[in-house]
Amino acid sequence: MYSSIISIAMNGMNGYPVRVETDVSPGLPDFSMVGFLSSEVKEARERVRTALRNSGFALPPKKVTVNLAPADIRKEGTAYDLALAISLLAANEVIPGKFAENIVFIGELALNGALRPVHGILPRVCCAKDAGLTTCFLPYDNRREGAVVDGMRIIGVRNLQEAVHLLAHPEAQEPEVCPAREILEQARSYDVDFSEVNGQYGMKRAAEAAAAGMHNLLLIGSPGSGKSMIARRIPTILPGLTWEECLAVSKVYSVAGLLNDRQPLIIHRPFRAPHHTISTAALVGGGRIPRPGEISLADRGVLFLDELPEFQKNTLEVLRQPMEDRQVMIARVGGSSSFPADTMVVAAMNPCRCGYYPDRSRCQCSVSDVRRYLGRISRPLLDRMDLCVEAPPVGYADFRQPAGSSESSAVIRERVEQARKVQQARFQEDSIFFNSQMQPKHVNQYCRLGPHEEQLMKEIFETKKLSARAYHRLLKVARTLADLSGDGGIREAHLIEAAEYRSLEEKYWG
Amino acid sequence: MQSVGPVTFRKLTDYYGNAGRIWNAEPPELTGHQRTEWRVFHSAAKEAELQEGYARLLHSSSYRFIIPDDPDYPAPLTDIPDPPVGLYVKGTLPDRSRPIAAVIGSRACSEYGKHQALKIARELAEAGVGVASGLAAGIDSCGHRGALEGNGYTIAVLGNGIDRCYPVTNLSLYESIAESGAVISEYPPGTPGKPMHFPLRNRIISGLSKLVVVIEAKKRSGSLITVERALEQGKDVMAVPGRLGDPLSEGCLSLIRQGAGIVTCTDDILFAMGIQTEKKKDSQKKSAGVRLSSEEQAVLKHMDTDPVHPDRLCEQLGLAPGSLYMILFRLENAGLIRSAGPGLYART
Repeated sequence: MYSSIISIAMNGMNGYPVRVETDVSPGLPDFSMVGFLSSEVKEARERVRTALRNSGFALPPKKVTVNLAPADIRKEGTAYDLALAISLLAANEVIPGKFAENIVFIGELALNGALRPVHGILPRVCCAKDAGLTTCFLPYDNRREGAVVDGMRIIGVRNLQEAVHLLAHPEAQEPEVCPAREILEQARSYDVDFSEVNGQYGMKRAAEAAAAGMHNLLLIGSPGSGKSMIARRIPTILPGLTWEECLAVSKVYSVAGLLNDRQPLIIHRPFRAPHHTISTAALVGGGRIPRPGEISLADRGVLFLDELPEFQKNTLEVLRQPMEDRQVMIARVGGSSSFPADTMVVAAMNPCRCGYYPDRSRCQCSVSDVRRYLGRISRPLLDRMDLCVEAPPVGYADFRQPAGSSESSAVIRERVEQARKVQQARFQEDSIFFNSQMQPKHVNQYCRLGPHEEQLMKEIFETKKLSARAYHRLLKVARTLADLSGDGGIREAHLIEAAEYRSLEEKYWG
Repeated sequence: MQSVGPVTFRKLTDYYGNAGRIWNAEPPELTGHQRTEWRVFHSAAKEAELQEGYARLLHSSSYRFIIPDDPDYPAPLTDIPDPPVGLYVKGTLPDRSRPIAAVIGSRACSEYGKHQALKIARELAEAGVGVASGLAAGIDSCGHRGALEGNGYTIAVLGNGIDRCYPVTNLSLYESIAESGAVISEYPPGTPGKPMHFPLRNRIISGLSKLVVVIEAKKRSGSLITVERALEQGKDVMAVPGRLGDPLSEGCLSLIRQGAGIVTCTDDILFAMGIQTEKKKDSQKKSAGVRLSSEEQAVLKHMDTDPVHPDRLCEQLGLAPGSLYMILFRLENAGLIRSAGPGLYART
């Protein structure tokens, strides 16, 4: 007898439907599996046979052939166990094959027949939806993650017996309901707020501008001047996640296996702060089976690199391409997968090893020490940091300010959201969303300068000794500042402020 | 020259009359003298051979080699106890009539020191005084740079071979000095800078100059070695005062306590060198033409010559950073304030 059951395989961020075909024919008892399988898929044979027996299903000794189609794409992972078991049962006519038609089965089996959760449920269920399938049998622990997807009947099952029972009695099926959109609506509170930051007007302003245009931000300052404090609060002024963004972010976390029953959805903008000992693969993604790295986990959020010069040089340099392309391509012999990397990079660093340069009364570093320390950041990487601000040491007066005298995140976020709306309206016809994504043609189109501003820009270009790339980046930041102020055109003040954010780079590295 | 120090060399030249005769001296001529002189002769002869090699090299290169007998050899150097045996020169040596002042100080200097060095050197250059220094980072570089800005003459004395630029970051400065002034060294091309070279080259810096100006020096600083040499050579020493309690000021302040001249403005230096200057009203002219808005005036009022971070001004004046940057830009354009280091501003 023949049966064909649907499951979903993963390739990078995307799922694709896989048919688990089982043929049972008379002959010498045998169990063979084909379909370009990795070793963990081949091992499913033992897991499934044992799980079936322990669940009380005795299979007659016959010649069994299993194929996972399409047979030319390599199958990885343990998520096919459940589909395999159901397919075997259907082929042996334990359950009628039509019961399992148009149902997706995903899950790993334990030897006792219990179902174990697997990674990547969210993109798999999305893929099932795209393929026109509506019912999914998932491990009980994954049910909420699957139920996030609209219009899908998600049946969480605890073990194989329950799965068979529910297939035979569709009326007993209780689709899981996850009020995902409501969860997202309510998710607006962060446990940190900008009102807790006293003083630091320059850094706060730069953070606001960076958030408004998704510009990268570099904070330089002495130890304890509040760089990390500011960086941690940047997600609180970013606009809330839209439903589509929320799904996109959650998919990455699903693939990385970071979602669970308690947190079936990522409802806050991610803030990832990897330690500086991080390896290259962990930062941008990689591995034999490519997995998303920190930059992808920070998609639509903030990737915070504290102590930037302490990162390994190679590790930092690989960030360059994803920072431009806003996605990471990982190529393997078996094919390449891409992960999103639409992230705002916020970096913090001390100006020298001791951290007090240029305050020469405290900094004991020699000129070459300072240069060497700063030199760990390459110019190409530096060029990608649109805004660069210096954090002054915090004075006593700053502590003494009553708490809450600074603007709250909500107030700043309102301005940021306003500026984002302006950008959305502007880029309707272009396939970009933020000022930072503008290509030269967009800069020419949207960053036109009046005669006064043109003259000023010429002066800035000459006095600040800008490069062509820096010039374009400066205009993009000026565009964001204009959007923040609600001005249609770029005014002198915007250019000057943007130049101010650029000048620090020349002063330290120039 | 490595085997023969300048002092021994001077003894020999005093004996033989001129340097050329030592190279050519017959061994018997020397045998009558002490055994050490023998050693000296041999090494000197070896050096001479080497020198010939260099001379050939020099012939085709952009620098030349001069010995005290050359008419170009800077006159003030012949007056010091240990004049360099020879000098490698790139560029033009100063006219004998040109007064020279040394501008020296800490490599790890503050923004204040940088600013003063630039200003003093520029004004010295404008008054026709050449600026000598050591092309090191910090004050030295600013001294050279200031002189170049003032379209004046500047001379850099290196502690390494003339063909090397140390620190490398000063390469463009090295080239502009060689173009309009001179880069000199007593070390043959290819010599790396060794710690012992730098105190030695300091004697040339002070030797070339009529007066030594110290801007920022720590308690134990290389600049103070130059000062010692200068005093031995009978040169004047002046110091730019710094703030009390700042480690970078300690050297200068202790010099002043010991009786060094105090620099309150560039004219003090020119006066000490006996140079008459015309009174200039440059700074007043500059600000008179600019009409400041009330906000700009308020910002200016809150600033002084100490560098200040814009955040402080935001706090004191209740201004948004966006509008403050605009005001600072206008004030900077008007020449009333200057950017003083990363993210900082100060009054000029």
